[in-house]
Amino acid sequence: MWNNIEEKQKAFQEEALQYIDMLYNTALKLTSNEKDAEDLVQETYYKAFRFFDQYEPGTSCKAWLFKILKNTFINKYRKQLKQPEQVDYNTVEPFIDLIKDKEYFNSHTPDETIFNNYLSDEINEALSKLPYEFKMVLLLADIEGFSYNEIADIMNCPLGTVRSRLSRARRMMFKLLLEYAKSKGFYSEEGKK
Amino acid sequence: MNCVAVASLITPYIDNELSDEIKLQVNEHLDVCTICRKEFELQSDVHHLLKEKLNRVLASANVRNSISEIYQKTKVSHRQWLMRSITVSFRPITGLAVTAVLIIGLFIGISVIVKGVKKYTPLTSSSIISTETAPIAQGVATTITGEVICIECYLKKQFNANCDCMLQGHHSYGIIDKNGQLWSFAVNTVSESLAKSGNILGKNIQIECQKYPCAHCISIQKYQFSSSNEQK
Repeated sequence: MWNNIEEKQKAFQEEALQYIDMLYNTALKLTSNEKDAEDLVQETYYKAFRFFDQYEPGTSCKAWLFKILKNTFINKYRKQLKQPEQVDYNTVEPFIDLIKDKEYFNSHTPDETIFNNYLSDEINEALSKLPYEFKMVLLLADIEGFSYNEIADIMNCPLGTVRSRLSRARRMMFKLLLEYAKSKGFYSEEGKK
Repeated sequence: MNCVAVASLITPYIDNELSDEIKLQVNEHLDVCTICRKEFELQSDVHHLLKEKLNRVLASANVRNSISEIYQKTKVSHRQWLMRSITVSFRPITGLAVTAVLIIGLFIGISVIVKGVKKYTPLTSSSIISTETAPIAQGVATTITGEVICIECYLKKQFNANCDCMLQGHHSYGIIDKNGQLWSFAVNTVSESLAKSGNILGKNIQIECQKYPCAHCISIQKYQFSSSNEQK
């Protein structure tokens, strides 16, 4: 494959380094902390370089790197995440009415223009409140544009789970953003301001 | 298409994961159903909000520089390992033990030379392959029963070996027979379909196969799960 370390390094730089901004962005959203995000990206690249011979050329290097990032994140923060592969009821509980109850949306139909009022920081804040499993699928699908198949591979879960988590995650985000709009006074349940 | 069917298709519709035909059917439903339309708009709004309004931060020079350290780190970690082994061998007690072993080895060596060295005979293929083991190329037709395991996970559990399947995301299936022998599967259409047939880990299985004892590998011809009687 490679005759020496320099050749491996060159191939790695050409193939893997172009995704550094994407990985850093996701790491930042996951850790909410620049130092931790830097460490996470560095560790991801360190592992990727060590095991670069296991990467199959022609497959998506981006998906492969994100998979390593996700595994590294879980291993590092396993204690905080409790059981990362299962969704803890307590973390979803505040959203449970929203996930189940369609009535909520019928009584909360904000003006489309409300979404134009949000700033990046406010969206970021709402995103940081989501449980890890939901945040990760949103980042992978909406921000990085991965296909469901790639997400299922990265998250190591069935396709159906990707779909349902994504749907729930968007509903959670909606509720959080609506709560924010209410607290700032540009949306009220009686009428739109 | 009714609301129940459309409900599960709204998310993949937004993410462009549906075929054109299904997309058209969902679209037709959304045109006439207010409730599903609201659900669609909600998800679509959040999707576009995240996609378009969330700022992308560029990785700082710090991160970029840290990548070039990786190559250095990979070299250094190997060097550190070497240095550590050398340091360990030169600790006083270890040093004494090593010296003692060397002296004993020297004595044994001298006594062997004095007694005369037994003539070295090179191994031939006939001396390696015993009459009990089959030639590697042919294999033996046999039936094996055992439990399906992931060989890497099993070795990790037993010997704390590196388990690449955690990284690669797929198991390397094999079986452990009743004598505790591990057998890996040679790649063929049957073993591929077995690997893709859902969660097979821990299931008891009976396999008709060609057995290659030297390689600890079997080429599956037919298999049957003991509990569910599923046969291929």
